Amino acid sequence: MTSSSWKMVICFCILIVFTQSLAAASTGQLIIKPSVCMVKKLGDSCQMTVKVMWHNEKPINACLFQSETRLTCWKNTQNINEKIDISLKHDMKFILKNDEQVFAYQQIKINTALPKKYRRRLRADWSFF
Amino acid sequence: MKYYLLLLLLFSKFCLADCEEASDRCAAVGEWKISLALGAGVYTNPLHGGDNVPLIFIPKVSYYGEKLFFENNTLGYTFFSSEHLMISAITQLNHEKAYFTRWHPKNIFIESLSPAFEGDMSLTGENIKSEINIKDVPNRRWAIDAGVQLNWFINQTSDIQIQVLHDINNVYNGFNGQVQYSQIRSLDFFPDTVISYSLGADINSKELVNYYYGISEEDDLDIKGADQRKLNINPYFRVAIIHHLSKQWSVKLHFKQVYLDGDMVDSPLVKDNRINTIFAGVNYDF
Repeated sequence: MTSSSWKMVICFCILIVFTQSLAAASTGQLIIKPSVCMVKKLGDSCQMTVKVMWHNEKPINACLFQSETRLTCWKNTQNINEKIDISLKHDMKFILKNDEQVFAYQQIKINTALPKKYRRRLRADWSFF
Repeated sequence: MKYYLLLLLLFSKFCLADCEEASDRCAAVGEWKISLALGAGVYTNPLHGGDNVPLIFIPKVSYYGEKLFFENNTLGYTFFSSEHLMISAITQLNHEKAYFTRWHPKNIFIESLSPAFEGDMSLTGENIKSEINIKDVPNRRWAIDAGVQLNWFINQTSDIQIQVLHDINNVYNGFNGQVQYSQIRSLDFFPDTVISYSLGADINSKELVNYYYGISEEDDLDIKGADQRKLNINPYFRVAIIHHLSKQWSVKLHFKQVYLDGDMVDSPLVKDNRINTIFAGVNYDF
């Protein structure tokens, strides 16, 4: 084997090791189901039980936040598969994180059962002047 | 037969008054809309000694419920609604008092040193017209009007609005009204831009005109006899151009000119025969 071939093999090995370590550190997608909550009209509060699913290669300590509010925490876990009760009034982001890093997040949307209604304005713009 | 056709037109099943999305002519039901315009402009004052109102910040708040609405300074309740016609009971602040209000900061913080009534007389042809400064007459009061407003939506872009109002706080004890034709349309050659214009007239009863612009014996001025005024009709036109930069930001140009009735111009308090409103600026919808 020539020296250039050796160099190629070494680079290839380094690449494999680096990719594997990246894969080990990578985190799965946070899945929260259902991801949409139906309310009667805009502004109504939505309460529902959602299933939270997440998987990681290595055990971690992490908490699930609803925007800035902490909902629940897990210690030294690789798999999350749990039901939790949530309450929200508008679209909100649910984030899985610890003090060091954000692992994943998902948006839960609010939809209204009744479509938004519109009506003609009855005064001209700036009619006071 | 012609009345029947008119009724058929007014109550036909075409949904011209309906809207499919929020826009410059449509409002989302049940939502407050707050916006703030920042720019430069002026609202001229036609009275002797009256200050032009500088327009720099113009806040706007509106709310449309199923029947209740609030827009600018008008609070209303729509008690009849068909596809073409809406009739509402409304109440609003009468703006005539604004001309007697000292808006400029110097008028608020600095006492005027000029003498009281000078009785300035100017010769106009054969008529002698006295000039009376607003500071020399007793302060006029703010009136709150209430009455009926009719909106007739001719088609998707045009409407006619008629108001008949009477003051409800015993200020001038009279009527005022407004008739206005408005049209709003998109400019095909200039994307994201709408132009709206109105042609109309303010009609003020002689009681209103006398209270605000007449000179009564109570005013205690050295004028022979009381200055009695008549019913006034003040026609106007208004043009507004709005160019939307994004969902929340827009550029706005606004111009309105009111032509004062000759009888009002003859009042010793009035110096101009027109009122202009000009504004150019940016608008942010919260």
